[in-house]
Amino acid sequence: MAEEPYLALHRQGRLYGPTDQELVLRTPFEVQQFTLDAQGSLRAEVDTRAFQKHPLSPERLRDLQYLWDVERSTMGQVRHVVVSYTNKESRVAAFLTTWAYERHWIADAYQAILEAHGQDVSGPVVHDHLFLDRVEMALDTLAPMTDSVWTNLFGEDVVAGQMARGWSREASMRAAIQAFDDAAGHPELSALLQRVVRLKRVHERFFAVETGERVRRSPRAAAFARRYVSFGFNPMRPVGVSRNAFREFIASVCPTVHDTHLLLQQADEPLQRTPETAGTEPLRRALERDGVVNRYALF
Amino acid sequence: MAFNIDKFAETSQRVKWADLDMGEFITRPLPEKTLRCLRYMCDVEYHTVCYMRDMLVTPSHQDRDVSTFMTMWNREEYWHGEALAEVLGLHGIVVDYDELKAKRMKLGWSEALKPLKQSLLSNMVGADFIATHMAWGAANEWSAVAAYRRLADLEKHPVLAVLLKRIAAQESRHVAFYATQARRRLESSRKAQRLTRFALRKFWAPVGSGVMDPDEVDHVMRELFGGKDGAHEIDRLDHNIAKLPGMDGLRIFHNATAHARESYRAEAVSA
Repeated sequence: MAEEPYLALHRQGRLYGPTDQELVLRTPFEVQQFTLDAQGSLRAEVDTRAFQKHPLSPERLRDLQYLWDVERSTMGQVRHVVVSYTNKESRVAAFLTTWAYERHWIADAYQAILEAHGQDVSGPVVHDHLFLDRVEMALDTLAPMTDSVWTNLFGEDVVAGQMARGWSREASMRAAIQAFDDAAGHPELSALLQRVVRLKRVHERFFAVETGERVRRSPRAAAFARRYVSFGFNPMRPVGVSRNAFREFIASVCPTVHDTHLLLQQADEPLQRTPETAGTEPLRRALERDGVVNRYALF
Repeated sequence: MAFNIDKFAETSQRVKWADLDMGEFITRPLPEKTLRCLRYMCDVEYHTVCYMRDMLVTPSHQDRDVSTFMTMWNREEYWHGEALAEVLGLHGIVVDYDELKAKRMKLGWSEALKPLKQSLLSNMVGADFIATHMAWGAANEWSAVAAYRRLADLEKHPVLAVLLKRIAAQESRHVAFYATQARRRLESSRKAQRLTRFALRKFWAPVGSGVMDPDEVDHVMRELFGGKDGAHEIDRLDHNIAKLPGMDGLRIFHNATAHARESYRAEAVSA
């Protein structure tokens, strides 16, 4: 019977993997420790009474709602990764499992503040979608079909592209939260936002190290990284969130050209430090493409 | 009773085993047949991300409750994999990132193209496809709870039994979500009932069948559900599925494990 030789089927304890080489890329980022240290609910750190005394203005609540929407879109972002070749990367999958968990609780903390201001957050958010938004959403519905095929044809180099997008998203959102914090000037809100920024820095570090290691190993991976952050990508606006909401958010947290410069510098600068992704400027391209800024007016 | 997603999320935690005397596995190691079952369970837990992927290609990820559940569920299942990998590691069986990647690569194009298939079906069928996913998930989770409890009872290892019962307790919460969602969605659509009944009757196979070799599936079903107590458990599982709207009379567990249980009977007779 098959039971007896079961352990004998293993080579150095392994049933499937090779014994003489590592299949998974290891970087200095300790994924195991990250999964162990996962940050759960942040509600205890939100003093809702402080917001009753000093409520946020309607404009700042709208900004917060935008950030809430972006954090809530995490599963849509996970979807793009898990339908692709990257799903085979078990170490990346372990990171994303905890990353999605932490982002859920960041969104929940934002929700607690919205609730403290009497906002109804139970129903689905109604977006003012433009024609372009709807086209984008339709294409996104079809993406799993195409992505599952072509990413598996190209193999592991594709992972660099997805990691670069993750890097750009985290850097951009960290910069956006900082801009929102500066614009709001609310001490209790600031305490939470700075806590979120610290979590985002950890997420950013994973994606940055992962991208760096991969693009240095393969020119094709570097090409994927550049393409992924250069075309059809907005690091601050997930699919499903309208262009109008994005424009309003940027106009609100960056009312002056100087503020916009600062946001772009903080969001795009990290990718400039790696030669393979230098010059991509994903947020700047997205702002120009979505009609938020005019390149000649701004620079 | 309605499933409270906020309460589920608030109370979601990784399964703990630091308080258990894991050294007991050194002094009282598990037999090979049990290690083989544990390896199966471990691989299936780590592959939850693949099951989640199939759900994510439907529009369900835009639903707040479903999105929250999938986040917590995926993390809990990941930690079930970690706990079982620790037990296997104490017996010299390595389940690490490399081993998991090797397993996923071995599955090749059949696994890689699943999003294409699921996405096509989802776009063709529409929202009713989510009901089928939920009923399918309920069947998987019901069988997972039963499998962990059966292995704990059969092996009677003082540490393994505690660990498996902790995992089973978390799986029971997953059942509650899937069954509630399936019931609600099936109640509101006759088309969803017909589609789900057809899909379960024609295609449902024990959780892990698409990922593990048929010999491994057979071994686990034989070990856990062979014999009189196993048959009783299978009847109970079929009863649960039959209670979902439009699923009366379905015997998916009985049919899916018939071959394995028959081989258990033949072995018992020849012994």
